[in-house]
Amino acid sequence: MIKKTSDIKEVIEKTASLARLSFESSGSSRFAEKVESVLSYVAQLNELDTSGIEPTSHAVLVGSGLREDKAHDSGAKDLILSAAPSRDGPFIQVPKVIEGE
Amino acid sequence: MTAAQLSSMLREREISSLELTKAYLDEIQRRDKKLNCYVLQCPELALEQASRADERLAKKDSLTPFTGLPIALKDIFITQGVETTCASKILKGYIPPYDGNAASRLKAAGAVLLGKLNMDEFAMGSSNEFSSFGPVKNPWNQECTPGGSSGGSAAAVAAGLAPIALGTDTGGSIRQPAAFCGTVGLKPTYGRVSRYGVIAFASSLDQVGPIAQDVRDCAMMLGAIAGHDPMDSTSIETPVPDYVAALKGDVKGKTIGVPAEYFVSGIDTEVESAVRAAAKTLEGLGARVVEISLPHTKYALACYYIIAPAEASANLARYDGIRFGHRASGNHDLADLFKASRTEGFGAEVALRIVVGTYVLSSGYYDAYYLKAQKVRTLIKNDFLEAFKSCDAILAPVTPTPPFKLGEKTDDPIQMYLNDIFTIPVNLAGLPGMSLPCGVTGSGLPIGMQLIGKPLDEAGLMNIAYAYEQATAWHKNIPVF
Repeated sequence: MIKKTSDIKEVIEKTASLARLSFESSGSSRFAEKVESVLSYVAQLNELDTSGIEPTSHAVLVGSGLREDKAHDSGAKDLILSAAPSRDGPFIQVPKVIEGE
Repeated sequence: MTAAQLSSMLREREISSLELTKAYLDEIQRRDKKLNCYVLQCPELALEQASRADERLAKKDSLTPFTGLPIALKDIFITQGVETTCASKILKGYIPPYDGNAASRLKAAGAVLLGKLNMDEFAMGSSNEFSSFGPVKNPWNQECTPGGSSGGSAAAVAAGLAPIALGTDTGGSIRQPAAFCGTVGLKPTYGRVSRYGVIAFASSLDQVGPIAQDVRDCAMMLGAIAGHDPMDSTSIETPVPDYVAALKGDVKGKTIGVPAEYFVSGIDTEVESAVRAAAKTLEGLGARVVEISLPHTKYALACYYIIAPAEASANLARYDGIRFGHRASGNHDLADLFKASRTEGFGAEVALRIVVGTYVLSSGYYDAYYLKAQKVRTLIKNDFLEAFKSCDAILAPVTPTPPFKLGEKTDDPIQMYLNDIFTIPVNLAGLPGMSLPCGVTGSGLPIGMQLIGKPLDEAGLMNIAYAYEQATAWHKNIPVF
């Protein structure tokens, strides 16, 4: 368990970065306190002995609900493209990811 | 008037869909400023759908209970051509290219979409205060929250701004606001209703359901949206019964379990006595009421606040500012663009849950948190399976307290989360649960009771609720605002 607020700030910074969020802005102390209170609260599960208990990922397990892996035309290409914040014709624009020409 | 009554008036041509739709649109225009239920109204689309429904009604062409009936959807439902934001800045301006399963079923049935309803951002909240559109007010007392996350849905139905609405429930988000607003809400069995086109929060918990004026309306809506969908891999392939026809109102010989762990210290005395009185009413109707035990109840909230944020952190990874949604302005490289767009786009509560979820899934913590929570989930589910050996349904409070004041709990996540201690176990176990009015507090606020059923026994559950409703008049109370 993480207890000290200094530790929690480090942890949050690292975790936020993994989640592609930044928390350099002010007010992050309160945010850290909130994260800490949630993590302390959920730690009460340690009171329970769960050895030999199988984990449940879905409460209702249905058989394979997978569809056949087959391409089909959604007919919505233009609509999908028009939702992009920045585009160039049929392409979605993103910042350059490869250096040099 | 209930959705079923309006539906029959439409069919009998006592009113046209256009007249009915206009009446609702006027009402929304005139009165929603006070409540903030709607984040988007779509009058043009609604009037067009209404006139097409009127043609269908005139020709008696493939009529359904929803032909010509105005409805409203929580803004978590993807609607083609109609902005869908999940009450988040990150989806501001997003016009979906397709209809989700619920929207397309209702559209095909001839329903008229009045608009999209307010909610906590990405359905994360219990008071509707975590919405980028501002909070919804409770129509019974505008200083109180309507509950959340489907607060707009519950408040709109209670206030007569929609005859019926859809919500979603991940940890209580249909049942809790339904209780706070004096409406009837149903969370079906996980997998009963397709999640295709429902913006994902926690995929193993999310479920779609109605918020309605009474049990019959709930049954009517569930009949329209339930059923297998190949687009949702967790959708159950079991035939859909006629839920309305199953409402017999007879509970003789049924055993109702009342869990001791749901009446712990901290529960409001008015809530407790209203639910205890409901048990007596059901007993009077011929049901047998027995005390049961769900021993792991106290761990459900902790279990949920590992599993739900974990799943949310994975689901919300898709918001990157590239293909849709908010993109940060300025010069960024790709990694910084993700970071800036997400940091600007997500509200504080969503960010909190993403960070908690990422943490519990991260290397070195996965077993201690996530795997542990999944094992506790098994214990919670087994509690219910064991209990259902000795009862047909479970009666419990929906929430520990009546509606609370706006602003009271927004800065303390645990206090806010504790609202859902009685609804969360049902999601973890994947069971159907419903909320219906069973009393009023001394200060005039609604109190709800919860009925929890066996997997896929929505018909049996609604029948018990219907019997109770027939014997009481709580659902007929209408707020003055």
